[in-house]
Amino acid sequence: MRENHLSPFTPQNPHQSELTATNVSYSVGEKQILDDVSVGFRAGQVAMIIGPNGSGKTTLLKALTGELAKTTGEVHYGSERLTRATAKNLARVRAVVSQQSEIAFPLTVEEVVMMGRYPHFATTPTAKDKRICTDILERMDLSAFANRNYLTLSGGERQRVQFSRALAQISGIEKTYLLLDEPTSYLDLKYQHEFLSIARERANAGSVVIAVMHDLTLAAQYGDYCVAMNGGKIVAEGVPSFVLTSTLLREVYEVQGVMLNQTELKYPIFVTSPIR
Amino acid sequence: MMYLLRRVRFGSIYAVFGVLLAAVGLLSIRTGAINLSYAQIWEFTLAALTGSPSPDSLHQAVFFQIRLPRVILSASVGAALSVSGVLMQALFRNPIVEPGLVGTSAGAAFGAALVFVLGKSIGAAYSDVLGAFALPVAAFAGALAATLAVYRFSALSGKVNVATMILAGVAVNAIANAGTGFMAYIARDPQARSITFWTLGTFTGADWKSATLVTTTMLLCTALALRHAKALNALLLGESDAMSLGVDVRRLNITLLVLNTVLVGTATAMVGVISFMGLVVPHLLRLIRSADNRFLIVASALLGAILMVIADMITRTLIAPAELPIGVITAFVGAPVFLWLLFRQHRDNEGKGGFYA
Repeated sequence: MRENHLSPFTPQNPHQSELTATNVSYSVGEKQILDDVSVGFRAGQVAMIIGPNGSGKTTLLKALTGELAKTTGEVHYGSERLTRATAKNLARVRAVVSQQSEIAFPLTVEEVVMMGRYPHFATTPTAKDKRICTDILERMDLSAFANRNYLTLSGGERQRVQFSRALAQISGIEKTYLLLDEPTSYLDLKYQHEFLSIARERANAGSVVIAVMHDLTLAAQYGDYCVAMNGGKIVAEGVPSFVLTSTLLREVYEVQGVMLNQTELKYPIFVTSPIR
Repeated sequence: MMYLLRRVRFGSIYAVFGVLLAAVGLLSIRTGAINLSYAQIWEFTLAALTGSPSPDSLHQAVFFQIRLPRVILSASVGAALSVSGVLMQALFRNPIVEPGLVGTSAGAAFGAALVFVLGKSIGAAYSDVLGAFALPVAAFAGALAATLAVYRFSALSGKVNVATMILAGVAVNAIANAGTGFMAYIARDPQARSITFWTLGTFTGADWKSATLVTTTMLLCTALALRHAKALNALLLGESDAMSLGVDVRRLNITLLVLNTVLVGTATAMVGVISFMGLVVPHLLRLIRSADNRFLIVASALLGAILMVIADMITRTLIAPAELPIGVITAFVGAPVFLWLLFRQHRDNEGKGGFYA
């Protein structure tokens, strides 16, 4: 049994989950980065993975995408085991935005976003692919950037381009998987909300949305389900109000914290300070 | 400078390059120790097509046996090395990579030198037929071993590290060059002279056999590379992003490595080491139009062919009737261009991004 002394433990029934990890472990050398993690994610929900630095959030996300080579345990998309799924089929329903992209070439914004359509066309983009790209660039306020060199963009602008690419990839399909690693890290307030609202829309349309988040206020505001990690294990999971507690702040984040539960807001705001 | 021709269609650029290639090709056929006139070229071509004998057998022999195969060979080698540059840059996800830098060319040269010098000593099994195959095969094996070694070293951490790549390239180049040097040292005189000349590249040995071999391989590999152009673009985002776009990255990497080494191995086995083509050509194309690999593969083949035909023409005319090794020209032109690119990149990005990303 998993340790859970932080909050009422309410794991989701794996049979109702669209994306599940079962007994997933991963280690580098002696260091155990993921320690026997089992978790399920449902369609229609925005799930937030939270936890301090080095707790294994990103590694869990990478285990879910299948990017890590030597994991033990199983990951299932629906009833299909990840190791049996082909990259090509998965790419048509699943988009991943990783923390940083390694682009070293002068690609234009439009070219990067069009890459999201690659799984859907054979050699040249169809009119539909072009329309999807144009629409998404417009929605993300990137139309004026279409011909800009990606390498000259700021961190936040690059993040918007990468998110647009992911949206282009799963555009027009209802049941998809959207996996985001710290999607809002470089964004200003407006785009933080814009991104998470879009994630919300995708979930409402029937997708599985999973985001690794540092901002607990945003996690509480936009998340339906929260998975808290520490030391490579899941230490709490459930609806945000169960998971995000002052006990969690103290024991997992090692800070003092209070939650301001404004009655006119549906979600708490976190105010934290160091433990004296 | 970026995207100078942004609005020009890919097809129009290909067409312009195609016309240019035909023009410089024709000019190159004319030029040399014996100059041919356009009238003669037309007459010989017509005679060859109709099968009627031509009265001027000396000039005709120069045209058919020396110039024509040489121009075809130089164009194909230029195309092969430039396409190889595009593929290597995608594989290493870095725009400064080229066959000369990561040991591919030096490895191919060493492999070929082994056959060159030791081939006859292998014994009864060696024949002219086998020799004709042994040379490109050995060059391919050397090229593959060298490239694989550098790639493995530079990607030890999972992501290609530029510093490690360059240092591993220096080491592998040193080993391969030392091996080639050793072969030259133990070789009998005529072989040794040809090895030395040949480490700087030369088209003097051009004949129909080598021209056909390089052209066929180049066309085949370019066509295959074109089929992977979309995946190559996705790979520019990094391996994990490419994977999430549906690319089988492991298989793509192996395909790229093999295509590269076939291209460079064959070309190097026939004409020796010619550096900087694979670096400069794709880079120019990225500057003027796009980094889209669909465009880069076709346009690099054409522009590489054009530039190599021009470079070959210069080697034949600069100190005529003697000839310069072609590698001297490409290095004298290519290396400063490379330095200028480094400088520009540094200035534009204040040291971050670009080459060092």
